[in-house]
Amino acid sequence: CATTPAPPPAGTAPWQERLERLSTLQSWQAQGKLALRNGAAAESANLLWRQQDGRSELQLSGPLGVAATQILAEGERLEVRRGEELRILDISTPQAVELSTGWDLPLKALPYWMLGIPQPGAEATDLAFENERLTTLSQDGWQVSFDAYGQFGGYTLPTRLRVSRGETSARLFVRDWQPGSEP
Amino acid sequence: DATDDLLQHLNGLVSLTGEFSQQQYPEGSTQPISSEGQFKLLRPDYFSWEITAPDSQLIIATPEYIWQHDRDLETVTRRPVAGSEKSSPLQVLAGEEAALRAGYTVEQAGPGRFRLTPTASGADFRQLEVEFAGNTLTGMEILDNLGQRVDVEFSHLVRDAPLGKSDFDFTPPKGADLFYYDE
Repeated sequence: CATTPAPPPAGTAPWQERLERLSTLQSWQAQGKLALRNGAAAESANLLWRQQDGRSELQLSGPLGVAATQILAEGERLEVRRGEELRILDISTPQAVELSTGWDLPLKALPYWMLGIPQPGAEATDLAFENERLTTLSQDGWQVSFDAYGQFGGYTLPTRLRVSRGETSARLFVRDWQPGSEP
Repeated sequence: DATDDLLQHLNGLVSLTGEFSQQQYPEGSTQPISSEGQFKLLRPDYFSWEITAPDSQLIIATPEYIWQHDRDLETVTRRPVAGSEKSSPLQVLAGEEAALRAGYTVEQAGPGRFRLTPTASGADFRQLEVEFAGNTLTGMEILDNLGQRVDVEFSHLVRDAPLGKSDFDFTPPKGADLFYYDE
């Protein structure tokens, strides 16, 4: 764009600094809501996400705790627990997540997008910034937009995200962030 | 038997309005997630469950559809009631006798307290306890599919307030992301 970007407000760390700091944030907890949609279904649920190094634990439940589901993703292993039903899945192949859960979900990249940074080690394009914060990015065919940020424990973190690829779209709303807390 | 006793408490109730406050106890964390709002019930087919804080969500059931409008995520889903055997604790309260008898085993769990266990496998919650003081509904306790407890307390109850179908009309707001499950 022709105009030079406005200087970031005081106190906003330059992007590189933010990127490094957030990339080293190994454990955190985010609480809010998730809406998922594809050609065949649309669901929304309360979300409690606990990240511990490479391990993502997501607890989803509808109003009144209905349809509570726990998703554990670590490396190539995905566990989906709902009621007595526990499914353990291998997600090494890209389509495995969709084949097993019915949802095309970027489980490996999402923990990084939640923090407002690209997934390290994978090419990212269409990076756009505002006040040193990412507003959009594209990775692995996914279009991600960061619609709002908030201040939590010395970190500026996204509170509204939209993620989409093909027929699948997801909206995330984070009400409470606990960066770096022992979940 | 216990079902008759429960129905006895529910019968004679044409409509009920009031407020609720909910505490959800996620597995492995001492901090409950609380929310509150108001509800309307026009037996047997209509209910409205509106969460006003901290998030903003409206669930409305009519004889044909269940609407879920998440104002934070700006999504609206509509599901046909017919054929969806999934039922939520609310449908139990609103539900008429046949649905209650067919869908649940009912036991007395204390004075004025009834424990309902869904008979269908793959139900959306594991167990529901409903509590009355005399014929006044005071609370519900839901054991969700992950064994987590959801406590709901009712207050400001008004029995048989004049409610009509139009109190349950819903028109999706402009700009919301709509998803209508087909019939």
